[in-house]
Amino acid sequence: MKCETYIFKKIMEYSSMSERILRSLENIIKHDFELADFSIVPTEDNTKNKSPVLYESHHLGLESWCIKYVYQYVCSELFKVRKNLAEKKIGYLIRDNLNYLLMGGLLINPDINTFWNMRRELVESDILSIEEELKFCKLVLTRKHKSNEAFSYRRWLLKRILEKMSKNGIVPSINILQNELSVSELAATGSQNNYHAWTHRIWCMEHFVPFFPHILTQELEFSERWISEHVSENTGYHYRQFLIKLLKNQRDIPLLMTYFNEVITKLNLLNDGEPSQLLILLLGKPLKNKSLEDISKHINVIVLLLYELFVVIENINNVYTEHESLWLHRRFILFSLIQLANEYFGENSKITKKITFNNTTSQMYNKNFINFVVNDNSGEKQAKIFKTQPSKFESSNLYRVLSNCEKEFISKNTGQSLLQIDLARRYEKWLKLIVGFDLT
Amino acid sequence: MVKLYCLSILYKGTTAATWLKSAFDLQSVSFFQRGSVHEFMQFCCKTVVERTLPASRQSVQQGDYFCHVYVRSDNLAGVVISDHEYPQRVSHTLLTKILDEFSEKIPASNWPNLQEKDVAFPQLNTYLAKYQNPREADALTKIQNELDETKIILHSNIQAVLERGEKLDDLVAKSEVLSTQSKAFYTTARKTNSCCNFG
Repeated sequence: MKCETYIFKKIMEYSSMSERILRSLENIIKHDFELADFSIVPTEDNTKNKSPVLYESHHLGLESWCIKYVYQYVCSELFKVRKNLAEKKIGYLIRDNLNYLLMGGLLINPDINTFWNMRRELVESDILSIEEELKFCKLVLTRKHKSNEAFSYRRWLLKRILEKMSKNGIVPSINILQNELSVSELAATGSQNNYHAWTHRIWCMEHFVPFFPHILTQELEFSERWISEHVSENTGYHYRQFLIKLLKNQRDIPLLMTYFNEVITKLNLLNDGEPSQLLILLLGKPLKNKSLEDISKHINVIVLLLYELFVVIENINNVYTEHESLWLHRRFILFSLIQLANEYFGENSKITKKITFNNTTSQMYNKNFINFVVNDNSGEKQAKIFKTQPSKFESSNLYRVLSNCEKEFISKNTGQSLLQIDLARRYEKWLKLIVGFDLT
Repeated sequence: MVKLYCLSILYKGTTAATWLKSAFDLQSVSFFQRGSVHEFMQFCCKTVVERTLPASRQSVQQGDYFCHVYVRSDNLAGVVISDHEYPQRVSHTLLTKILDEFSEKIPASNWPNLQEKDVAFPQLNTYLAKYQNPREADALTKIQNELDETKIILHSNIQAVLERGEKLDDLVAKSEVLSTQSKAFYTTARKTNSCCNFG
């Protein structure tokens, strides 16, 4: 009997302690508009007998010894009301008082979808405001940069904003997008190869670019800076590839002048300020049934791709060697150039057929696929690789420029470390056997 | 991320290494853990320098971090802590450069008895900021040729640098550089990271 009362007393003690901790967390989050981040600070035990909530110059921390008690308390309290909340049978006094529990629970463990769903229900009944929620969600992401649940909650909130605005016929403000971009950058900086953050960025771009087409050029600059600082992260390259594809489908983008000038200098051409001349020089005169708009669309993409090949990749490769991600990115750029040339000629060339015989173009970048082709000497597939007749692309100036450029790039990289030589050789094989370049 | 976290200059005495100068950039580390990370980097610098022979270079990889050490034949030692993307060549040429400059500024006879606070060598902080961008290293190519002659010993983790019979856990427990909070930080990190190991 004595033992039971002791346990009961202990539980009560921990509950009131947890309650106090949660309230003070809520208080700080509510009142500090510049709160920078939240973290859990590892400690051995409660030795100092003071509050585990650390708060210093806009940084919030929680000592790890109390997590166990607080989390237990949050779970037991929240699951008591979970069912009633979902069925909307809950008294509003309790309903208005759930936020601090949910905050504490999600800061400790952001991967619990039930808690996020409870927040969704509270947003739907207008107890929590969307702006406040975006802020809280960001705070969660400062600790767990890869929380998929937090990102999906964010997108849910954004969708609500967008729906509301389109209903009222208002164009969303650019600040919303800027805020999302900064959140995704923060999460991507926090953990490397953070696909969740980049997926979120892509989602935002897809939904907001129709309203602000100029943001695309800004993003191109941002991603160029990013990949030159995060050379081994495939995610960053993937985002850049997404931007290039997005540019291809955007119509009303003015000529990217800085990239154009760079490309002209690299090609040793005279800059006559007539961008369509570049296209004619590289690929010949366009087909007659092409509209002017189509051609100008091609110019931006080809300029950007060549800039990527001549300047961006070159610069990175000069300083950082031995990163496979960069070589894979180069494959993407080259493939896109070929694809573009074929679109320009309006023909479905043999090259793309060769590449897509397994129905997925993505395999083109896959190194295993190359090994597969290289090792397979038995016939059929090899036979397809041999060229019969030069296509329009293969007789264009672009082809000549590219094959010279690739030859130079490969030979430059074969005098270095073993790993770099291996990467260069693999790339060479890919060019010869998959793309069908003649590099001799 | 391409990043330099720490540049340090130490003197490798007969029994222990002493600090001459250090510079840190820990902005990317969570606020409440900066103190512990700082102490750990110091601990790591000292431990590795004490286990590097004079006139040799070592590079130690520990997770996503790289620790590059160069001890000159006159026992002046330099350490760079960077992330795994930062080019190793640049780290080692940078070490040669800062040690050369340091020995020009401060006479060798003073090294054994100097305290860190008495050393006037503010350039270290400037270098730490400047060489965050490894492209700055283009100016260093001259030294690179000298570098090719010395062999850099590579280690895949810090345990590999330790002498026979030494254990990292014991060194951490004994260390005077580390506060109790940092030691707690170390043990929790060990526990969380060891979930995939048996035993």
